[in-house]
Amino acid sequence: MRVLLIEDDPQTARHVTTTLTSRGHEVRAAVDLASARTMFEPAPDILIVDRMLPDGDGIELVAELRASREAVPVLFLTARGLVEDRVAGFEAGGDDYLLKPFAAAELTARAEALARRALRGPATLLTIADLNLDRLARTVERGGQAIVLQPREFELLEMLMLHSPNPVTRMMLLEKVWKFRFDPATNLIESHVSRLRGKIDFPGTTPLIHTIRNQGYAVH
Amino acid sequence: MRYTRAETLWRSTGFRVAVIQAALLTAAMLGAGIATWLSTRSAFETEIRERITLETGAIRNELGHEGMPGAAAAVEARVRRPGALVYRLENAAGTKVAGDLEFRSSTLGWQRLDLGEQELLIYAIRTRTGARLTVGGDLEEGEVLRNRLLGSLALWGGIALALGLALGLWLTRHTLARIGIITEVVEQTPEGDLGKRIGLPPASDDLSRLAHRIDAMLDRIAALVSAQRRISADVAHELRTPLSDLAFKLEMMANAGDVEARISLHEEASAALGRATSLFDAMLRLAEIEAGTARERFATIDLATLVGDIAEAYRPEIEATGRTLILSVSQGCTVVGDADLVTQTLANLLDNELKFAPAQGVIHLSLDQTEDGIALSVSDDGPGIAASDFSALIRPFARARGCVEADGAGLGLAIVHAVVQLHGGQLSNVSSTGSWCVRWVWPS
Repeated sequence: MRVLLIEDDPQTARHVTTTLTSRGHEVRAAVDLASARTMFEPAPDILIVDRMLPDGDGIELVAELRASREAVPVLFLTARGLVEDRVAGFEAGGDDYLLKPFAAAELTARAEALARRALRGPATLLTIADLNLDRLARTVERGGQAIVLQPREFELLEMLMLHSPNPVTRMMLLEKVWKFRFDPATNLIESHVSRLRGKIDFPGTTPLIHTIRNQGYAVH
Repeated sequence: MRYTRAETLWRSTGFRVAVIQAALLTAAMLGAGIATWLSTRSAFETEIRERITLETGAIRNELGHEGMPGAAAAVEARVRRPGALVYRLENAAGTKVAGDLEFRSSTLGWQRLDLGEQELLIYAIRTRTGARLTVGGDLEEGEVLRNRLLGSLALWGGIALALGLALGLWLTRHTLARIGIITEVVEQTPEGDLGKRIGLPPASDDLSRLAHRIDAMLDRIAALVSAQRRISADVAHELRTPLSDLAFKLEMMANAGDVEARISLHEEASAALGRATSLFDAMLRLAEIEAGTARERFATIDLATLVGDIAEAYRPEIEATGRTLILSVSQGCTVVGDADLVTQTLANLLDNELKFAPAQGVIHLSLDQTEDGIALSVSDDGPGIAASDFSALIRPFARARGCVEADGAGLGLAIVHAVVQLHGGQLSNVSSTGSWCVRWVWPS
C-alpha cells in the first residue's frame, strides 16, 4: 500500500518508514502540513498523521479532507493521549489513534487493518479454512458443526477473522471488543483467547488461532 | 520596590480618595463663592436702582406740590437719615439748592461714577421748571457685604477642607499599616516563599477578611505545592527502577552469546520499558481525572449493564487463577458520569483482586440500591486491612505491605479515589468481618 506519513520528528519518521517499508509498503514522508498538501498525487491508501506539527495540528488537514469527501483512512500517531485529544481526533474524521511510544508490530497491524478495510469493504460471511462466521446471523460453525459463543467471544473471533491472516494486537482487541481505553495490568485477553481456542480448535481439528509472539493473535 | 514616605502615602487609595474629596470640596466652594458674589452684586444694584427711582419720584412730587423750597426741605431731611442716598437739587440756573452731592452731572438718566473710594450709581432728571434733581447710591456698600460673605465662606470651607484631609490621613495611616503587611506577604509569594502569613487579628472589617482569605489561600497553595513536589520525587524514583532494569537488560543483550538468550532478554527489556510507559500513562490519567475535564462528557450510565460487562471481561482470568467471581446486580441503577472512567475504576479494583485476593478465594462484585444511594462494591474473603491503612493506600505510589514494584506503579487506588471524587461519590473500606471490601456510594 501507499502510505503518506506526516511527521516532523526525524527519529519517529525513520522508525515508521523502516517498519512499513520492510513490510513491502511504499512510504512518502512530509514534515509539515503545507508539504503534505502537495503530496496527494498519487493518492495514498492510508494517511499516518502526527498531531503537533510545525505549521499546525494534523487534525486540521484531516478535517479538510473529510470536508471534501476524501475517504482515505487516517491513523493519528501522537504523544497527545488525553481522552479529549482522542475524542477530537475521532470527531475530525480519524479512523484510529496510536499513542507514542508505540511498538512496530502495533503500528503495522493497525495501519494494514485500516488500509484493508478501506479496500475490501464490509463482508458479511467470513471463512478461514473450514471455519465460517456469519456476521448478520451471528453464527459460527466449523466443519459443519455449529459452535455456540458468548457475545464477546463472537466479537473477538470476528475481529481476528476480519484481519486474517494478519495479527491483531492486545490493545486493538481491548479497544474494539471491550471498549477499554486503558491497558489493564492483567492477562485478560490471554484468558479470553484461551477460552475461544477451546471452542474453535476442538480436538481433531487443525489449530487456527495462533499466538504471535510480541505482537498479538492471528487466525489462519 | 521601595518608596519614600510621601510616595507611599500618595500610593495609598485612602489618601488619594481624601485628596480627591478635598479638591472636589474646594471646587464646590469656589463655585458657590463666585455664584454668591455675582448674584449679590446684581441684587444689590437692583435694590439701589429701585430706591433711587422711588426717591426721585417722591422729590419730584414735592417739587410739583410745594415748589422748590418744599423740595429742598425734603432733600435736606433725607440727607440726614442714616444710610441715606446722595442727593443734589439745582435750580434752573444750575446752582445747588440742597443735597450733599458735589458732582454736577452734565447728562440726564442713569450713570456710573467712579470717585476713587466710592462707586456711585446716579440718576438725573430735569423738571418742566428747569430744576435738576440727581439721586445716587453707593455701590461699594454692597461690595463690603459681599466680601464679608465670601470671607466667612472661605473660613468655614477651609475648616471643612482641613478636617477632610485630616480624616483622610488618619484613615490612610490606620489602613496603610495593615495593607503594608498584606503587600509584603503577597510580594514574597511569587518569589517562592510560601511560608509567610499575614496573621492579622480577626476583625470584622473588609481588610481583615481579605487578609484571612489570603492566608487560607496560601495554606492551600503550600499544601498543593508540597504534594506536587512529593509526587514529582515519587515519579522520578518510580521511573528509576524500570529504567535501570532496562539499561541492565540491554547491556546483557550486548554480551549475550546465543540467539535464544537475546530473545529472552529482549522480552524482559520490553517489559521494563512497558512498565515505565504505563507509569506515565497512569500519571497522565490521574492528572486528567483530577483536572475534572471529564465532567463535560458526563452522561447517563446504566450501571447494571456496565458492571455485567466488566464482570464478564474479568471472569475467565479470575477463574483461570482458581478464584470464584460472584456477581450480584440490582437492575435499574442509573447514574450520571463517565462510563470509561467507571469501567477503569472497576477494572483497577478487579486487577487488585487478581493480585491480592487469596488463592481459591471468592470475589464479590455487587451493585445495590441502598438508603445512602447507589452502592458499588468489590470485596473478597481475604484478611483485609485497617481503616487507617486504607486512607494511606489511596494516595499516589502507596503500596500495601509486602507488595513489590513489579505489581504495579501504586496508582491503581489513587485513580479509583480520583474517579470517585470526580463523580461526587464516597469511597470507603467497609467490612464487618475484617476482610477486604471497597465500596463506592453515589449519594441519592
